[in-house]
Amino acid sequence: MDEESLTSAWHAGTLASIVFRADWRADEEERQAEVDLWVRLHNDHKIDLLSAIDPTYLQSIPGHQFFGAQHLLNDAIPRLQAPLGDMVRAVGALVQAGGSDLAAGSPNIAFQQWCANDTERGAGVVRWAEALDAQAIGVLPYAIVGCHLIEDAVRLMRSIDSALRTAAIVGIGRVKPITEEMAAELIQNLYQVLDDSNDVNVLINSILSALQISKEASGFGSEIISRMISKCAQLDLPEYQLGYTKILWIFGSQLTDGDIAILLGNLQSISPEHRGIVDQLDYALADFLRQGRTSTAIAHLAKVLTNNDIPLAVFDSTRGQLLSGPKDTHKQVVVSWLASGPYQLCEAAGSLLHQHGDMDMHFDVTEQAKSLTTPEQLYLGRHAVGYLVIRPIAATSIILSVLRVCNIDTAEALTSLLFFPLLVNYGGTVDEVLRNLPADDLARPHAELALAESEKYVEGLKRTSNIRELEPPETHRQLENNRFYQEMRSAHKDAMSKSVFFNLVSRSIVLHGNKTLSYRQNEHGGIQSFEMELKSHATSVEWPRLSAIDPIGFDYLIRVLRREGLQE
Amino acid sequence: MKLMLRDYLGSLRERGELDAILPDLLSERGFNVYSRPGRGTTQHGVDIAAVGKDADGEQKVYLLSVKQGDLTRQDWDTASPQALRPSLNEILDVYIPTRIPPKHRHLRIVICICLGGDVHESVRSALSHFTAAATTDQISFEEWNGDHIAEMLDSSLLREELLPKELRSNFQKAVAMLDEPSVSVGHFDRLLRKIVEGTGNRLKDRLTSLRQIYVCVWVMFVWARDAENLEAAYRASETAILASWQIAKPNDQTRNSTTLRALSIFDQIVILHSTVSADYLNKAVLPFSQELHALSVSVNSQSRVDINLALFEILGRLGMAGTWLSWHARNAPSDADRANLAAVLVELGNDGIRIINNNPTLFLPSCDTQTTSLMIFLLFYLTTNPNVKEAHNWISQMALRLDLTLRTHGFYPMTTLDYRELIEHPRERTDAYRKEVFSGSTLIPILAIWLRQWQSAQALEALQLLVDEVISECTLQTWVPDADSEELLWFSRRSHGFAVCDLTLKNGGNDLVSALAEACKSKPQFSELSAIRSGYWPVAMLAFKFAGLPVPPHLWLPMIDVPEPAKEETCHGESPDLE
Repeated sequence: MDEESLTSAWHAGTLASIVFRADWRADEEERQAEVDLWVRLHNDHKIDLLSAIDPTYLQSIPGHQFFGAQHLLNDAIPRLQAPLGDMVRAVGALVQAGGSDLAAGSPNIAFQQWCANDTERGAGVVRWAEALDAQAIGVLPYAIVGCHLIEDAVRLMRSIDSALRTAAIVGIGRVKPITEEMAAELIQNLYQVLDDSNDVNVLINSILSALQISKEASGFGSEIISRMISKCAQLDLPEYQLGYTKILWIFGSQLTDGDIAILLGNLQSISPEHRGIVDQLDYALADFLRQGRTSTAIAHLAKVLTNNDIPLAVFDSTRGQLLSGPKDTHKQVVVSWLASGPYQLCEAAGSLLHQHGDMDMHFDVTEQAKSLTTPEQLYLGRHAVGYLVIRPIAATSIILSVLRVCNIDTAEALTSLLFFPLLVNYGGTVDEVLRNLPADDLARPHAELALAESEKYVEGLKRTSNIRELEPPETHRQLENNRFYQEMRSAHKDAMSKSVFFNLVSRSIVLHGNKTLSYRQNEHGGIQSFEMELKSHATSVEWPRLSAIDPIGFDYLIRVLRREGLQE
Repeated sequence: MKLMLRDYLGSLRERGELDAILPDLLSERGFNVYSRPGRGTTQHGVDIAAVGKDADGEQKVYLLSVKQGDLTRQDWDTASPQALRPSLNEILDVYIPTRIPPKHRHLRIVICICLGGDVHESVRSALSHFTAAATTDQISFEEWNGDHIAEMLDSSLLREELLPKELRSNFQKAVAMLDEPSVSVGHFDRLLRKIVEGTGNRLKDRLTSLRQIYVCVWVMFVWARDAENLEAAYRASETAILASWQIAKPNDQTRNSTTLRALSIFDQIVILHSTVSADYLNKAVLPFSQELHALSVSVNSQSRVDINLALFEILGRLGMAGTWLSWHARNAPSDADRANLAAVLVELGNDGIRIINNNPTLFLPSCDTQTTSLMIFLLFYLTTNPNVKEAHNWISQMALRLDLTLRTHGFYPMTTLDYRELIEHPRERTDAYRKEVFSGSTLIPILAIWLRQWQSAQALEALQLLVDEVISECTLQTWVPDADSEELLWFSRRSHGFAVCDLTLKNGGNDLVSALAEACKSKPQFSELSAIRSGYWPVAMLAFKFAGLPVPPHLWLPMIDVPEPAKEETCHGESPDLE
């Protein structure tokens, strides 16, 4: 876009449509050149770039178009000469238009830089905020950081207005660099805030800022911070959970075990509907696992799942960390939850046994099973069948693990489960697992007993083959096939609509052949051919036999196996 | 058509098959059959004896010696009691001189060698020499091979004016589609309806229709047996009984000769059905009763509905087979025979229990109509088997599963019979959907009755709790016949009878029993049904099963302990004694 186009557009009142246009060229240099042109024309008063940031217009354009221009404006803002009011209004409009996107707040950073370029701007924001202007209070932390307005911030921290206090506290926490002396003074000031406020935002942000300052000062002041946390917990604040989870998530590694215990103690009952709280707690627990605070993370996760009936899938970061972290931890969690956990933990254990599209997998927990009591070993086996009913390989390998280390009575009970319902349901996969056990495997004799029982059962079935008299009519077969087809088609469509992959790529449907050949224009204007060999992709799953033969009895058995457990 | 009949005759391989249809064939051709085949009695080489006119109109005595299949060298002259030459010698040496009734002794005699198949060339000359040597002015020989008999069948029983073209078409399609039993039975059903609708009131018309039905079922059976799929034949024979009853049923309690002649052919159809049923059970069911899941897997379907429907059908058929056998046992000639049959009945009941225990789909029906099959088997079992414990366990398990499935919105029985609905069930796991598809139940009153009878107070209480808490808007009901039932029960698709509604399980089931006793008392039309009145109560059972109607309480309430006030009013005397 050239100078004339931009000035014409400004005069015509259509500058916003040029700045927030959809067809930005990919070339970085070209884009940078245009941003430089904006800045020059604005500062030469040939256009008013900030007038293009019109809240009404921003609501009318799609998200990707907005963010495409937003980051260019972030680049331009620090270099613009503009009245404070215009700039604050424009930055506020940009932040608001960003909504809940993680990049929504980035214009504030540009504003911080804009303030840093002229300290008078920061002073202006302070004055304006002291007049309790909401827009000024919104950008106050960035003005404090940009202009290093520590004294002003400390003064405003004692204001009676909560929003102003909070903004000042947030700003203090972000000021850099910080010396140990400054840190001591500021943390002390923040500690004193706890004496004269019951506002949850003020208090939580005091702790967060104190932690931030402490971090900048190499951990200085951690004792005072612990006292702040302890004191805060005693206040029984309303709506404190979001703040606590934020503290745990962002500063978990700085906290002492005592701090964590206090904060987690207040987070045992949470609502899955409060996604912010759940997500921040999830990130915090995943971090704890990475930091080696495994027992703390697992114990709290267990409490949260049990107390609140929340599925583990909600804690996807923690689940992912358990699956990708140390194998022993993963196994220990699954075993302990399946052996003695209530149903919420058993279900959670089940969801820890598939990953990366593998619905079923071998899971040898022989070592972990050794340390269980006899009743726990029995329930581990029975719960494995109950909760891993559609993952027969995992269920079988857990039972085999127990069989290697348990007593005779438990072995007898679990061997019968290998036959019924596992081998009866999954004559293919489970049979293969059992037959492939090494000769010296301690579970082999039990597996052979189950296999013998299974062979007898299969022999009985083979004796009948198909009895033509009993077969359903062809019309029924067609109806059932049609129903099954529709069910599978619906599941397939549903899966495709949720697929991340299909949202990223364009699709071509190939009707003939087993290779594709297509032509595209290359960068030199010529034609380039692309050949691709097609590969088949298939997946299969063994359907449990009892789902047709005795679905009700099977359902009942699974319910019994799931609900039984150790008494407290 | 002739070719089909020829093949049919050639396939009659068992003793009692070819000689079973020949007397009717001869009767239909105007012969007077004075001796029918009987097993274990001395016949002196003659299987069937009749008097009739030959092609020239001369009255003669026809002595039939019947051999199944082809005549080979092995069948001609060996020590076997079935060999032909010794039979012919016996006819010549003993039967003709001593056994021909005096009033027919003046007539010339034709010895008919009846074969389902043909005479093999290897034995042709021996047979010719024999007949030439034995032929006299008084005695001649005729060879009725498969072709000849088929021609007789085609030209008499099934000739154009007796089995019109559209009926022949239905029959041929029924036979051709034996491998797709539903289609085959559809054609056979249309054939039977046309026969029934076309039957006049004259005895001759009725007998002809009954014989037509009999032979048609025979042909179906033999072809089905060859095709190794008895399903269509079984269902055809069941329908045939009901169609035949519509024709043969006595109009009042008097048994005149007309009634007896019609019932005699009806009895043959029942025997034929029993033969088909026995073959079906022995081939497709009983050998696999002891194997876990064997019958369920043999349905060869991944659909739980297919398996459930097939297994409950098996149970109903087993119950009907037992019911017929019990009925036959009453007429057994000796105490020893009755004792033998009683042992067979006990074993058949045990087979049923084994099938239930090895095929757990039988612990809960998919649709309410299957309650009829359940009851038919249960009544048969309880009246022939002293071991109530197994039946008790079955019913208790059923109540448990009903409770589980209704409370969890699982595979509880539906009121509909529509297969599409059944396979999609449960389409929704909501109270509203459950209320819609479980709006009525004949199963629950039955479960309650037996749980009460066996003093399962806890299970009965749980059932009542289920009704109160989960399905309070479901109409608990059963059915009793009304005045129209006699006309419509046997072979009509129209509705009839009373739905006895709004039954309650309160008061430990006593109110339920009292209500049923009252219904039995106030609606006595059950005992006026022709099959009940004339002692053919298994026909009524079959009709209930066929129509998917509940077995009326008149049949089983006598087995239930009735509360005192209602007991005095119960109509015990009017129901058949099943025990």
